[in-house]
Amino acid sequence: MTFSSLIGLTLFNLFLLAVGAGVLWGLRGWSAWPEFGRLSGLAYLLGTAAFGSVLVLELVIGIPISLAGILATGAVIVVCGLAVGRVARRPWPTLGVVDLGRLSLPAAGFLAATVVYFEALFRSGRLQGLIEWDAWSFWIPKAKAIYFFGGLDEQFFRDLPGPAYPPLLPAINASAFEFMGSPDVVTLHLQPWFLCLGFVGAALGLLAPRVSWPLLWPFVLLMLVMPTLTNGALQPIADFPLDYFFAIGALLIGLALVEGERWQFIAAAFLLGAAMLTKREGLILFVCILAAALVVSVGKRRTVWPRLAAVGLGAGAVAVPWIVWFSTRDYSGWGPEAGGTGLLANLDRAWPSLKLTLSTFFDYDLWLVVGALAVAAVALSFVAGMRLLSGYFGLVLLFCLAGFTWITWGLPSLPITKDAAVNPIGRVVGSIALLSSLFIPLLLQQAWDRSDSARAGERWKRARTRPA
Amino acid sequence: MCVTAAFATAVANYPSAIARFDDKAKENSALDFLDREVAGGNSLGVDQDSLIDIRSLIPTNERYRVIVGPNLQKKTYLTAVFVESFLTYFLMPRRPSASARWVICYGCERASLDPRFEAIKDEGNGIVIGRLRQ
Repeated sequence: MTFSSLIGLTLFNLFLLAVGAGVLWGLRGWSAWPEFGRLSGLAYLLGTAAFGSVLVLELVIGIPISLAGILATGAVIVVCGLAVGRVARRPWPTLGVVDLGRLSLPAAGFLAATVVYFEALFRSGRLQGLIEWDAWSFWIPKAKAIYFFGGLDEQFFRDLPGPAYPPLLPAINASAFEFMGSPDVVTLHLQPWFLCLGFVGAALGLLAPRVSWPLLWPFVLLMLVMPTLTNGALQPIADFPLDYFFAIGALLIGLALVEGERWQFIAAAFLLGAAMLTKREGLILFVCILAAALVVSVGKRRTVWPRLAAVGLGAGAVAVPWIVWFSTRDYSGWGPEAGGTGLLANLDRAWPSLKLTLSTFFDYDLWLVVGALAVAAVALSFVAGMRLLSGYFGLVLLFCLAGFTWITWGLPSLPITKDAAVNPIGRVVGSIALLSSLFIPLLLQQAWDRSDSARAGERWKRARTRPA
Repeated sequence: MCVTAAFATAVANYPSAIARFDDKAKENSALDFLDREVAGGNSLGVDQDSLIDIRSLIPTNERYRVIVGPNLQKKTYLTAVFVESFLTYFLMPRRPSASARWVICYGCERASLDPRFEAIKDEGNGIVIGRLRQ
């Protein structure tokens, strides 16, 4: 790692934040700059999603990627966001006041623990060599191909493993190389650090107004110390970026079902479209979210279903160009080899696949107690009468677990084992483990507030701060 | 109770998480440039010095081909199977090509090579870098 590479990488991520600020301004704006501070994590993820998706479209069309092109792409997204904000007549945000006096000592302690965590995580990655198999086998070579040759090089994208794997992450990494001035794969290990920071910031920004800190912070810390996250957060592969886009997208849909804010649906569409361009499993996860939301909102279908349909069409439209691109080149590997009627020929794998999926989700060595607490939170919130959000999250979990079971069931060549070297089940389950960490405090807060509906109403009303 | 369980579990695992990061940071700091540059190749048992020589000798706009054989002196059970994939990543932007002029003989039988093959550097452990005379 060189210092100049680190500066370049930092500038790249500030660029993504700026792009995301443009997107967020177009979606909802903010009334004061401290509010933007609270939502900056979400802005960063939106910027990454929007920029990455547009970049994939450019690659598919055949527009060569260069530093000038990257900057121009970002500028266009920002201008579009500003234009939408102007049409919506958003007033310019005020400076606002940050009142640190309201921060209690225990809350400050949790915040300090999080800061120490990210500092230690940074140090662990800043001199990390590229040791991950999938990373040097195809994720980084694809990024290098885009960087060196400016596009989806026919030879490398055909011959490298996983030709049908979506290219959002290689495109983002290639852009990082441009900012760094070289394909510095050592410093690149800090790109996942920025993504993780953005994810945690997005989660805190969305949950803090809706969940009291004694309920929120323990689950944030629990999520951060999950063994699979601590071991794998800095791997330059697509598993955790997919999980971040999915979890925040699913959270936004959940909040939108309760609060009905249009910007939440649109923001979710950005993130879920990016999820589908990050890994093939993104499509399964997206379908699970949409299906769960449709089921629980059947009583409000006149208002909600058109919005969900728009999310589906919008996110789907983002993924279509890539699917057309690799389909016309006859690349294989989009779905499980026995994913269709072949499942019936492998019925003996059905129950073992389900057992494997469930045991992985509840595995303490992977996710600590998150799985068990997720079930408890759904049950408590449901019994307390808060059926909408608990029903939605519960269904997302069920549908995703079914989807993950299908992956193992539909790939007869996959041994039924948790060994990450031969079965990706541990990695795919990560998506719902992270999602659970976000929903558990939200559901518990709902169940707690149930006893005081006035307090609950006030909390949700405060959460929906909108520009004047 | 859920909050207590989450808090207790988080607190119990927090020190070991930070310790893991510290250990990783120390481990990475102790590596030299070659270890860090080759990284994943070390687990395949590829020869570090040869990799650097190959990268120095073959121009970035040239194509190359890898011929793997049984005559490697230092190897693991993974080397022969995966060295070609690793070189695809390591040597980019150079392109692999079956008709390339540059040849990396990775433990290959020298006698089986094209008669026009001219060795440029013999690494001395079964690895020879060369090219075909025009």
